[in-house]
Amino acid sequence: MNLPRDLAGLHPLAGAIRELLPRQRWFAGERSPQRAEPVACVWVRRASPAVALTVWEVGDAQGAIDRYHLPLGFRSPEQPLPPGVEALRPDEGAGPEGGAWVAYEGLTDPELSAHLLTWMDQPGAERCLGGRVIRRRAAGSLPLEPNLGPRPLEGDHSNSGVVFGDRVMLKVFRRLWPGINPEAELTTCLLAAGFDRVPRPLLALEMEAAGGPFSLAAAQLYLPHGTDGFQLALTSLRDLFGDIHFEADGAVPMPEACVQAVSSQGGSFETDSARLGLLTGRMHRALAQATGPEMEAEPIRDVDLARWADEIEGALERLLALGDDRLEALRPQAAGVHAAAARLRQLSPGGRRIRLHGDFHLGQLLRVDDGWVVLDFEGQPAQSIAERRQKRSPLQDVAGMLRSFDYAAAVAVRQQASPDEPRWSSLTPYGRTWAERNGERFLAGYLAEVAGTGLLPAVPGSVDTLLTAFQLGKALYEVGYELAHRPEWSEIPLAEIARLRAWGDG
Amino acid sequence: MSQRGGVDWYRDAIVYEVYVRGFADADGDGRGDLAGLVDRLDYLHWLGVSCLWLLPIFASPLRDGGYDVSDFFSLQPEVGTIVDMQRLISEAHARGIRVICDLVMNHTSDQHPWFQEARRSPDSRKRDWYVWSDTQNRYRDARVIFVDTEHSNWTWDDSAGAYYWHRFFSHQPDLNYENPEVQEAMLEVVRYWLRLGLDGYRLDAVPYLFEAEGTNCENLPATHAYLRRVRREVDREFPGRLLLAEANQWPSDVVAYFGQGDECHMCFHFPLMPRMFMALRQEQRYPITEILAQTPELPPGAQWGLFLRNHDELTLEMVSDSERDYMYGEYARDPRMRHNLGIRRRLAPLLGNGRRQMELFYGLLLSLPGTPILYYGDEIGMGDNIYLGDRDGVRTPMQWSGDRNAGFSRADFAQLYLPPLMDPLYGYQACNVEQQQRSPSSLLQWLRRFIQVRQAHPVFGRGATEVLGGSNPSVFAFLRHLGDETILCVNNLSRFPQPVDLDLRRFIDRTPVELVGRVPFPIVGDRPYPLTLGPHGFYWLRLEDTP
Repeated sequence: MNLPRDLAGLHPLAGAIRELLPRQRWFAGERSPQRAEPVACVWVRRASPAVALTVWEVGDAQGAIDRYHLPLGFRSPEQPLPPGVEALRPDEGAGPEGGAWVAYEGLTDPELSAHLLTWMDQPGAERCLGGRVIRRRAAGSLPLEPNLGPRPLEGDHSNSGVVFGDRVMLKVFRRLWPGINPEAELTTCLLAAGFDRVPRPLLALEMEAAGGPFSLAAAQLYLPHGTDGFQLALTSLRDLFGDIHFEADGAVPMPEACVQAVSSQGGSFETDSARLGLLTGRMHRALAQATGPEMEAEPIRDVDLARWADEIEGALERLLALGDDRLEALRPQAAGVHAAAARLRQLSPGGRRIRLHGDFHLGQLLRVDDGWVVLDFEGQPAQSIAERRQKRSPLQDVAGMLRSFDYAAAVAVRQQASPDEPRWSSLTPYGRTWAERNGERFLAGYLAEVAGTGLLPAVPGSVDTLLTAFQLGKALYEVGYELAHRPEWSEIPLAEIARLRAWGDG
Repeated sequence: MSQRGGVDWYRDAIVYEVYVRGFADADGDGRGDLAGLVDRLDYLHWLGVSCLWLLPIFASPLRDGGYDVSDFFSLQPEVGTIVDMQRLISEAHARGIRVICDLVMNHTSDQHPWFQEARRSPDSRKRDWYVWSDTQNRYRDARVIFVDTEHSNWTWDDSAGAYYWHRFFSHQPDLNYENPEVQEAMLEVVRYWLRLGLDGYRLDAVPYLFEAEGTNCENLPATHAYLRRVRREVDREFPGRLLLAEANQWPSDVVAYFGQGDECHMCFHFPLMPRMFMALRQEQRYPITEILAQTPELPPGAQWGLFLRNHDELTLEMVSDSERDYMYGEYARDPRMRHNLGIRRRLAPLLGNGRRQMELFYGLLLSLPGTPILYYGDEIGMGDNIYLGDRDGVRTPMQWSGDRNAGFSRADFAQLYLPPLMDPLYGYQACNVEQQQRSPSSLLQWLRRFIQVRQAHPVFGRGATEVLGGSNPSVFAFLRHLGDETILCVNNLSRFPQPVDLDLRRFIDRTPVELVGRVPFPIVGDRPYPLTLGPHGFYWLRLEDTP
């Protein structure tokens, strides 16, 4: 097969790539990019079906530039494509010389995923088109078993996952940010500190190229039989709602009725919530033991508090500047947000800032047969690597989880009824009570675990002020995210902002 | 004897736990007896029972349901005589049913002549058969088990002028196993009943035989060494007899009572049962899969004993404090339902008398790895009476029919050892064997059918177990393998219908066939295998070669 010998040889695919990207969940833009340019390429295998890992620089009308990682498959035209796989059609009149090959999205072909994993399992460094690739094996891990059957995972937003034989999970990073992906860094540090409730890292693939370095892919131990915490929270809420019968739908229940229903609920999640609080505390204690300038815990200073306050107010400003009609409800809350930010600035500094999970929510916790495991230490996918690697108050993770309980309750209500149905307003208070009680259990477990570690400020009330501010910040981020992706859900964080404001004022 | 007559017969057994006093009264004195039990053997045989476990029948002042033995070589007079016992054993054996008995090795009643002699004087020949102390300060690390009634493991005895050691009630002094005479005496008890034809013992409270300062006095090496000695003696003189240990401990500790296959043949799996109840209420499989993941492999020939409920309270020692609070909140809202660290209820009331839930629980009992143990009366969904003292609430008379005294006894009502249940839901008018035998859709008939299905597939008793994941946390799926046979068990723990996708690709091209109705399901392909289950529904599917 006469495969492309240089980056220019990939040019004919640019049009097809521009078409492909907007259909992918991990693509950050909304519509097809104006241009797409291959900037690096490494051949994993040259015999048909061949595999290349390619990096594309894409630009939009505003001139913003992003980089995406696309594993591509190449077959000789005589060899049929796997069933259900579509070829990437080369640009008109720019096809490969003599129709030498047919290209397609590589991870749609399990055979290619298997070749990729085998190749990654051979440590070393080599030059490639546009840069250099480094394959690493994690300390203490052995060569993989051969011939583990691959199975693509569905449902990830920022990466693509392939599971091999229920043993190994390959994560292919898609949107590339310069810098070292925090996941390897943090899981290594946690394991070193004796916190083993994380999937064990096995392999890493990095690329040094213009604007890099970049993490292209990583393999870790797969944890079979798992269910994420968000699903189990929904299971608990389904049970709660199943117990509630209404005389007349639409009647808003008394708060005592909600407390009664949630506290006597059979499918309670509260034991798990307390357990998750302990687990989170243990995770932070382990992270706080890290050493080295990038990792070690440091005291929280006035400037940190001011920066976090600025971030929250900045998020509010950006949202209001969108001028979106759906954000009218946010405008009356602005004063409350500013007040929360002001209280944050006025705090006397205390506690520590550490490296965090950074994107902590119920969906990142996996219930497996022997307990809970924390997943995905990559941080917030919309942030640059430098932002993700900043040290912050551990309460930022805690705030993320508290928001997640609220989300679970709201999503569970939406599974039962739409907002214009009477049942919706009847169920919502029950869901709120569920979220509050589980949040309290989580927080109590957490605070018990980190008591006496110096991670949190000692001044009374400081923890509440920080938590309120971080929850507001998180909710503001969520409003932006929902408006871009699921506008009908933007009500969930907007309602929380109104509640937090009321609570903060009290 | 039965068709499965090997020395490890217990792995294929269906065990039925009988409270003789509450089962059937032949002589009309208001208390059940061995002769009454003999009369009901045909019923037990019909149900599919292959082993009887008799709750304590040795002579006793009955201050603890017979677990306070005053003579190991005679029976409680109202239960019967040695001749009755011999007749029970031979009639049971004629039907392929084995008989085992409760044996309390750890302690005796304070009425036992051994203790009476021991307390009389420090110079008594039996003095050293029990554990004495001048202070209460020895063995302080041992927990108090019956926290509702006992404050200490030491009780002062005036005539002895010393404290004696007891892990359970204060009227149950612990035997001193450091004394070789005690070891020999208990072995003599073991031999005596085996010579009579008994098929084995359920050994009560085995972790506590020996004590040692600075330990919690449980699971000590000396205790294991003695049990190995008992096993050696039994295997040599009476091969094929069963030792079933009660060790209410975590599976990782219980497994020590199997030794290297040279201690007990069977042990109860205690933590599994409360977690089945939790899993049902939380509608998720993890409480069960978590405890299965913590359950070690057993040595060859060893077997877990599984039960849904038994004569004791639903034991919550083996769950964490927060889980215990949760279980209390869920299943014992009335404080009278709580007892020590457990909940005293029968299966049917625990499950709100839900037929689907009971079927699901029996389905799990019959398909999880181990030998199922049924508690008398639970096969018809009998209720309990929480207003009776101690554990009597779950020991009311067996409900045979809608006749006077539930068909249990011809005695005057007032003469009965306990009143039968008479409430409209669980009372004997509504819930009895006769009516359920006549009704093809009864719980009893249903259970009998599933026992037959289980007994047709040795994989349930002997196979390996592999927990499957699956896309839905409310669905608990696992495989049982033995030789070429593989059975897939899929259970919906939710009260709502549930879908699940299972990864069965390694069984590609096989046909799952439902075991009860022999209905073939769609052939396994190379995609996740989708199944849909009704509320609390379950399937047993045999993965067969496609014709």
